[in-house]
Amino acid sequence: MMVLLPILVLAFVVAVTASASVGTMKMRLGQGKTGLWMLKGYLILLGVSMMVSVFLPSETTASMDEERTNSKQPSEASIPMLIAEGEVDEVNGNHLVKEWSFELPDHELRLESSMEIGTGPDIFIEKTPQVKGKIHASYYRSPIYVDGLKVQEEFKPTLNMNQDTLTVRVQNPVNVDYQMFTSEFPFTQFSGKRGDRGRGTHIDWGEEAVSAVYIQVPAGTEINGENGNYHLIDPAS
Amino acid sequence: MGKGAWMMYSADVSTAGVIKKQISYKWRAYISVFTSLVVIQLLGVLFSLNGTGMSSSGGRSYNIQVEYYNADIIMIFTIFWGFITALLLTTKAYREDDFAFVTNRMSGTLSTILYLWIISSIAGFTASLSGYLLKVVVFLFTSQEILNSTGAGGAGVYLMGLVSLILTIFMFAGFGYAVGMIVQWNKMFVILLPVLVIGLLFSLEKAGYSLDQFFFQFLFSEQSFWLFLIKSTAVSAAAYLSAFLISNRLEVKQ
Repeated sequence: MMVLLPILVLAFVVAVTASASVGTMKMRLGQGKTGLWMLKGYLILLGVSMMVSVFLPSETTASMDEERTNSKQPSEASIPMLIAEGEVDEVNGNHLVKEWSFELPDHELRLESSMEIGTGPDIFIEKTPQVKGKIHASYYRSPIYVDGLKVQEEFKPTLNMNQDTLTVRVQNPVNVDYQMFTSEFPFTQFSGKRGDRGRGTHIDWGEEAVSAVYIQVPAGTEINGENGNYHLIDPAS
Repeated sequence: MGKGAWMMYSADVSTAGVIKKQISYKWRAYISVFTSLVVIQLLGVLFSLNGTGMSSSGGRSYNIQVEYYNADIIMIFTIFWGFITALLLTTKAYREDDFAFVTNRMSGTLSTILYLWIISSIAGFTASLSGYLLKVVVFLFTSQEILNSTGAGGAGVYLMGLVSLILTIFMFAGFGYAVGMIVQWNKMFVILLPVLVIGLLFSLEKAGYSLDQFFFQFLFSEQSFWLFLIKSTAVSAAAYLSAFLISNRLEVKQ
């Protein structure tokens, strides 16, 4: 019977509102244009809202099938593993989230990382003759899907360069809020999408640990980092 | 054309004419039902601002919170509005409006049913668009990026949804109309009816036959649009027919 309680409360609210308004309709007979004007005004408001909503910044999530396809791709080699083996080109291009480039006047780089151990991305540094007088950093992450929509853009570390010190900072934890608009019950009843309603658990994290910062520094750069906060890529090994 | 046939034709025209006039009269006389409709739908928008649900998922370093919104509450409010509005139309003051015209009980009831169908259609249409208003209001309050779920889309799905919503409002208006007639027949039912209904639901639930199983699943779990159309039309017809039969008894009683 507890199921009926919200229905009864709802019925009471609507009954009071409706009867308060409808109950006076006889008195307004012949002069009661208010209702019609309210309806016209409301229709205009709905029409304007419909047009405005088209221009609101929004993303459309993928269907459940698409989501499954996205999230259940054949297992790829892990990003850190590929980078550690010097095969950065093999990393899926969709996993590249952000790139940075900083000047490095001297052949010395001090690396500081501001993150709890085990919560941030692995940092890989490669000495390469391809970059000169600067460092180039890239952040790779396996995608996070919210109901099929790739949202990993929101989850990236902050990189700052101050003279010869590069700081990799991860806000911990990163909180992201989304407003998700779903279809109403009459519109899902016949579409076969009813199962999608209340799809709160469909946040696909991929593999959370699968993220990495890959930094290219000029060959011959001396790197000073805190103990174990980075991995030096040695393609020769 | 024989004289009998002409008279029948003439009578048909006059019945249709009277119904048309009654609908027109009811439209003008009860125009403030739209005030309550607008107020209730705006109230629904207000209640919907809390969202219909929330989902939170976190990892070691990330937290994603998704607030779900839709216009379900607005539509449910509108369905109840249909029920209450129809119920109020059965009160004696409104029923006697029919006698402003040369009429009979049949044309009076038919005009009321058609009037309820018209206002149910308007209410269903505005409710179906209220989701856009909700979206704009939510954006104004939060200014955050909106994710649209592709749960259902396309003109066909919208049309089927709209028709089913209108039918649902009309069906509940039928319940309201029938309940109102029962109460008008005997005022004792003001107390008796809720007791009977709640008692019956309670007994059925205890016996393992829930309202959900027998009513909501029967109608709202139906995934075939045409079957839903048949079921809801049949339930509505039963409600309006009951109301009509009771209104006939009401006339006899008076």
